[in-house]
Amino acid sequence: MKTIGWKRMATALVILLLIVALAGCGAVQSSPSANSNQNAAQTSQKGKTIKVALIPKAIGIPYFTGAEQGAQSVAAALNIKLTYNGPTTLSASDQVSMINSYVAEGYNVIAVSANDPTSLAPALKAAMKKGVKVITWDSDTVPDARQFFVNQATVDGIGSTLVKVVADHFKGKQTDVAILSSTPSNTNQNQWIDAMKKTIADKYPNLHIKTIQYDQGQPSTGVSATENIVKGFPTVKAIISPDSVGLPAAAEAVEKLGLQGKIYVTGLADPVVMKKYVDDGTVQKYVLWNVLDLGKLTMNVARAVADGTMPTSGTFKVKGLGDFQVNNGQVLLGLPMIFDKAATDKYNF
Amino acid sequence: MKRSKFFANWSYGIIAVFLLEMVILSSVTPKFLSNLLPMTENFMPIGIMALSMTLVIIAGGIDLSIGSVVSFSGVIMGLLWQHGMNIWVAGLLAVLIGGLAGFINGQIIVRTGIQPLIATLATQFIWGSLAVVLSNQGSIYGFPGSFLLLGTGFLYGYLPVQLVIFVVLALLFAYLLNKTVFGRQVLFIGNSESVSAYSGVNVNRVKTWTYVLSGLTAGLSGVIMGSFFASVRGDMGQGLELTVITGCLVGGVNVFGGAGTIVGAAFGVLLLGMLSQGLNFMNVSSQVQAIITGVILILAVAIQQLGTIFARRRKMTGGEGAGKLRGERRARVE
Amino acid sequence: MKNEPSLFWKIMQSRESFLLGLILLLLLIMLVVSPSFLGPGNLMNILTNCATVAIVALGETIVIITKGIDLSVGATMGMVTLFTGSLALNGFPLAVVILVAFLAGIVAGALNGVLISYLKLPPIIVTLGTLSVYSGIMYVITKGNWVTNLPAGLLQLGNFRLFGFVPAPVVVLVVLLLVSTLFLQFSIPGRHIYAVGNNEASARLSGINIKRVIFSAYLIAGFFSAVAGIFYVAYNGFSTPSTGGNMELDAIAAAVIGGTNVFGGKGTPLGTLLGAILLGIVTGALVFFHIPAVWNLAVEGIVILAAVISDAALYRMQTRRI
Repeated sequence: MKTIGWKRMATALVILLLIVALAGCGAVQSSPSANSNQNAAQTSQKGKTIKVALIPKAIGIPYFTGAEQGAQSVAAALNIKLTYNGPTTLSASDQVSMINSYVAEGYNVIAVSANDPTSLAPALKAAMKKGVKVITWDSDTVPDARQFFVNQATVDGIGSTLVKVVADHFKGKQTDVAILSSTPSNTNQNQWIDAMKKTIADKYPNLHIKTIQYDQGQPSTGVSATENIVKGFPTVKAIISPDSVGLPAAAEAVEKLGLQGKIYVTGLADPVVMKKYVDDGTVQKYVLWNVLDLGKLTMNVARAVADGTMPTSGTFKVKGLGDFQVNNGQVLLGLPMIFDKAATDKYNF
Repeated sequence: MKRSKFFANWSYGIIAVFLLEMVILSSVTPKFLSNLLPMTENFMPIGIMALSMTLVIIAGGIDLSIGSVVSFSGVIMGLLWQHGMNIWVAGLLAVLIGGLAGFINGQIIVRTGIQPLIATLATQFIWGSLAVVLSNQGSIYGFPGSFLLLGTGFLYGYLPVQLVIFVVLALLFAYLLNKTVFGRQVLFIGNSESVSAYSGVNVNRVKTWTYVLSGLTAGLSGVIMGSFFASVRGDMGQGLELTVITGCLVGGVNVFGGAGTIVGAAFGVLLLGMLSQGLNFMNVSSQVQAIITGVILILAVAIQQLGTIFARRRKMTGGEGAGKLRGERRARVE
Repeated sequence: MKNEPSLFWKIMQSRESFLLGLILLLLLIMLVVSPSFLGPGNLMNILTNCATVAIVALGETIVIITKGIDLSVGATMGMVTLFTGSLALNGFPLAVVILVAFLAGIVAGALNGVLISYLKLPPIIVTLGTLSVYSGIMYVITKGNWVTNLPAGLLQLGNFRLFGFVPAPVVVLVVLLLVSTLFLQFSIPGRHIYAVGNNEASARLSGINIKRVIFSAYLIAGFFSAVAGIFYVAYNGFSTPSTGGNMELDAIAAAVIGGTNVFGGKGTPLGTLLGAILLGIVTGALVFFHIPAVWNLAVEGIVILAAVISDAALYRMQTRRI
């Protein structure tokens, strides 16, 4: 057997790579030339059944399951064949892989809640080039990667509402605040935290964010992180958790430490998860929006985009749901709602 | 020799199963075949990392840190580019940083003698954490258009650039493993570390090099993924290591070391990647896909195990070589 | 031959006292930084917070001693939390819920055990596969929903306090620690577990049923994960389909820091518990020292490295002295 040394192997590797790179440069194109497989969805789909893929950030989260319920409830009436599927973890790359499959399979509309604003952009742009309509919902991408964004509430709206709930409770008193987020790299959470910081700097100089901890999406980590906050930052009097695992976990920990009423807990979470803590008074108010309506509105926008009747600005009327402002491709569901005990009992998502 | 022959047969088996899968998927979903080549873009980095992971596993190691190295080197590339460096130079440096991370893994393992599983688990935590910190918990984006062609471009209009890189690297790694001194040493060490050490192989150096290669391909994958997603994130590589290892093992690489082929690993990754794409086509939800992947992994090793037992039994009844086999078994216990 | 166990014990003891010393040192530093730290409930809180990981890690320790590894323990625990929660929500009596939960863990562990011991498949591959399968099943059980608003009976189980101050998870942890220590050190099957991990060939020659020993190790790990799962959901009050994700890594880390050797044959439940406590205290200490939480994982990685490298160095020193 003829053999050569590993040193020469390494140089050969580098040289070969360079050759490939140079040879390829001239001939590389941004998309495959033979893409005649698409069903040329440029034309209006009016009156026809359309296939819509509703992709959440991850499956197994009540918030997204609620949106799916809303979407399912109107899909048949809108003549939509709906597929709801997402990754099992908050992964942008898994979403890209799914989007590519759905586009290739000939879906008419992709509606995605993006795990990252930029990572999904190339896949979504390629989809639009093939005539697939792309809308985002819940969590947006960069604007040129989609046609419409169904916005449940603006980032600033969510951030300022969360801060306002705390500020209203403490009425100008000097208060130390801790934040319990999901993971350090979660895009939405980080945006909301930035918006909270901005609101505090602009309007509420009496609030001070002392620490940001993470629950890593695990209830027990959320509980122990909250206990660590209480121990490590004894002056903290309020905990804001813009995460649907973190908020119930923080409430659970405060309850265990017997600090109900002494530490104010609020954040973003689903009524069905918060019921226990609202009922026993650990949490008085928290923030969310009508998730069922978000799902319904997304389906209506999907239908209108496929029909070619969706206005890029102005008013979008939906029978049985109301009128919605459309601004430069953003369809606004409304303002975030502050949930109290009555609202918690009313909703089931 | 019988064992390695069986694993060589396994790689033919994998190719056959892969072709069968293609036939089934394209008959179930008509649009599958026409999108075959573009779809590979979704999992080529996994394939690229599986090539070097094959060497690591054959030499008796494992590398759990590659997912974090992908994130880390991707973020480094983004940061260097943000500070004004040419993106291609930044990419090259990122690949080298990946190699350095691999070198550190290798040195920790050969110098302290701690288990590769534990050492790379620890460095996985460290690189992953650093990547998130360095990326300032967000994404870096806006790379020039020419760079994006690396991950999304098509050669002559139909060959994905990623696939071309993968095939070239696969050929290189196959040559490296089968035709070079280094490759034979990797196999030698995997079969018996002490014997190879006594026969003059510099075990520590060869092992370190397998981890360096692993780091280099992880760095390259970070760059390619940065191009494919047009952005880099501190968690972009999270969890990839398990997919890579699964691909290798389905491809017949022996988890105890000493046996495995590049062809097998490459088709192992293609098999799983195409399956996942096909299941997406058929609207199978992610949770069911997870179950299917797990079952396939166990079935793959179970069939390999049965195959080895049969091969052994045939040998035993044949009488010839039975003593040799017992010796081989003793070496495995060692 | 007579001398070996006592030397073995010496090494083990030094390992555990080393960890204990490290933990006390950390506590002392934190006491200085924040005098309120050693309040009556605080130590108990630390122990409670690492209880579920520690219980899972005890099972993992037994598997690692046999020279195996179980990557599916986190998924098994998560699966049990959802089984427990769903059944309790459907109004089944607590005894039935617990029985089914135990059964789920035992079946999960037994499946691993059969594949590994009787079919002789590599542990890392089998449990990597069952990790996918069990976590996939989690989504299927609940159709993606969480278990929450649990009935009072189950919550009481997780929140009762022995003598008014020892929380339920800690009580369970201590019981399991004692049981597994007695089992491993003094029972014949327990000694067989060490024997198999130390040298499978000589264990076989001395007449030990290797297959049964390895099978039982995975079965025990599944059972421990089930116990952890029941108390996880009862204590934390809710669970999601991603509960237990990556917990196998924490469990392996706790075992390894506690002196369990991945090459088999070495490790004790007490060491593992101390390893879990050390990780818990370090995470807590980072909050105390106001270090941003993005560094948590990096520090955990460094602690693991430091522990195994010091262990390897210690072992080399010991063997050189002989």
